[in-house]
Amino acid sequence: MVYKDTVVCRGSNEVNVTKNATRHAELVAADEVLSWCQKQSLAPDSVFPHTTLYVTVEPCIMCTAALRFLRIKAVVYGCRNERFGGCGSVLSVHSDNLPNTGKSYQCISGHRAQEAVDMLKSFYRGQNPHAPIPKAKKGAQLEGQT
Amino acid sequence: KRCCTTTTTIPWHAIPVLADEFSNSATRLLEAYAAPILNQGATSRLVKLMASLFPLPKYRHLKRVRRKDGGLDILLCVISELQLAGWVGELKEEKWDGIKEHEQFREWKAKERKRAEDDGVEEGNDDKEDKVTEEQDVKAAALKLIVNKLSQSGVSTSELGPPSPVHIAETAPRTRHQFEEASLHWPTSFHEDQKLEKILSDEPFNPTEKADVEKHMLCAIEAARQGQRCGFEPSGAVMVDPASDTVIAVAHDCRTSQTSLLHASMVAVDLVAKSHGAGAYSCTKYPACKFLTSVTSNFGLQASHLTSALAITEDKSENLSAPYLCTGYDLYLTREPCVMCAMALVHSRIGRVFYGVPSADGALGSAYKIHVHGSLNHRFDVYRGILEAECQQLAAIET
Ligand SMILES: [Zn+2]
Ligand SMILES: [Zn+2]
Repeated sequence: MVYKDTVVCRGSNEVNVTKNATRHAELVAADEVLSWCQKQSLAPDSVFPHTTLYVTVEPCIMCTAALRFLRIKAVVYGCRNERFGGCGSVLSVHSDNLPNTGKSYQCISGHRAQEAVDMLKSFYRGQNPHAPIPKAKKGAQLEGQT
Repeated sequence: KRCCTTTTTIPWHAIPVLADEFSNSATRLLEAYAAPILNQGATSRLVKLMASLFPLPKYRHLKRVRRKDGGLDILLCVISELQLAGWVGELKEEKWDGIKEHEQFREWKAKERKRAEDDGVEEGNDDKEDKVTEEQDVKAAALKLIVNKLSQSGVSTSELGPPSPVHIAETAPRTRHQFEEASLHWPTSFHEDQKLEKILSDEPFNPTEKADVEKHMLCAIEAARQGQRCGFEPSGAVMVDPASDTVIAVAHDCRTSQTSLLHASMVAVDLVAKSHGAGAYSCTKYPACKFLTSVTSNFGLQASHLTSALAITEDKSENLSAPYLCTGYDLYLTREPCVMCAMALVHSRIGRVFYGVPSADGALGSAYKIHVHGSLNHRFDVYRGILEAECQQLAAIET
């Protein structure tokens, strides 16, 4: 999460440690921004509209909506999330007309997509030796959670 | 189980929130041609012949022969399945009038032309006329192709009457209603899904089930009220294991400027994680947010008492299997969840969701139908309308 050219925090998936299937990297990072706001005595409503999320894989539908609620400025992601993606792959929650779901935002995709795909591939290879290896077409394949 | 015991409730009705394919208006019709069988002794030969002349592999639900007015009609083909490109071109060159080869075709053409003229007078619209002509061309070309193939195969006009246009259902009917609707046009086969018909019926639950559903929704409403007393929006959630009718967690909206994502469903999912010794949030300082301690698995309960979240001791034993802790559970929500919460329930593998009132941008029926989305890897049943009046009152207080 980058607020006005300053890296405020980094988050990674905490699903297993919390046993909460919603603790994706984006939500973990968002909570860190919220506590950073508290420490800095800044209102989250004034911070998120100047904050951009950089994330290796397209946020899922849940995280895409969460970022809307937070009124994030923009999301930059690497590879697409064909299974759960909320920024264009499965749904376009970032830009759909949802007047009661925060504010729509811009998404920039494909930045260092191949590296993101390679990372996922090696992760899933380690996780399950029988797992099918994601195809690397157009840097756009994902298995499992983000 | 210290849940609410209010007895007088306003009558309510559970309404299943289904995928669009199950809706009453889902039947799409396509144009086809059928012809009367004049010599019924030839029926089985004609059926075999049509299967090879005009195979319909995409339409296995359609019956090939129907009984009508004491006679039999045979389905010849679905127009969109014919390779018509060359035929339409040929017809255009002949400018309609050059075709003399078949009496049936001439009769049909005269009728179509009259119909087009009548339509044209009413519409007086150039685009529309073009479209009518184009449709006519396709229909005419289809008829020409059919007649051509039939005569090449030696079908005589004494065994098969002139083809006429009919409508057929594009896909197999999923519900009895759709079956009845499709059958008005052309008979189809239908395999009734008993479970689905039960869901679609006026009363999907028996009295015991309905009483349980009501009991848990009352608990969610009470949680919403208690949350409201703590300054939150009145929105409640109750997670239940239906196998043992055990309440696993009770939650309410916990949104502050610092915790703006803690919608009731997100809190409920985290309280289930807490019941397994983990969890991420500390919003559980509110007394109405409770969870069952010592849940070992979704199928075996060790203890069964609700405790305030403050009492929990942290057990960070790592479990590397994916935490689909809500598998098989029912979630009761006073209002339809947003898209974030609905997707959180997909990630948690929720069993069923019952909610009271729809909400703007809601994702289980209003703006999306996340629970039946074709691309997502987990689907679940959703019912709305549970204690709708009481849930509506909660919402009204808020605004
Ligand atoms: Zn996510
Ligand atoms: Zn929500």
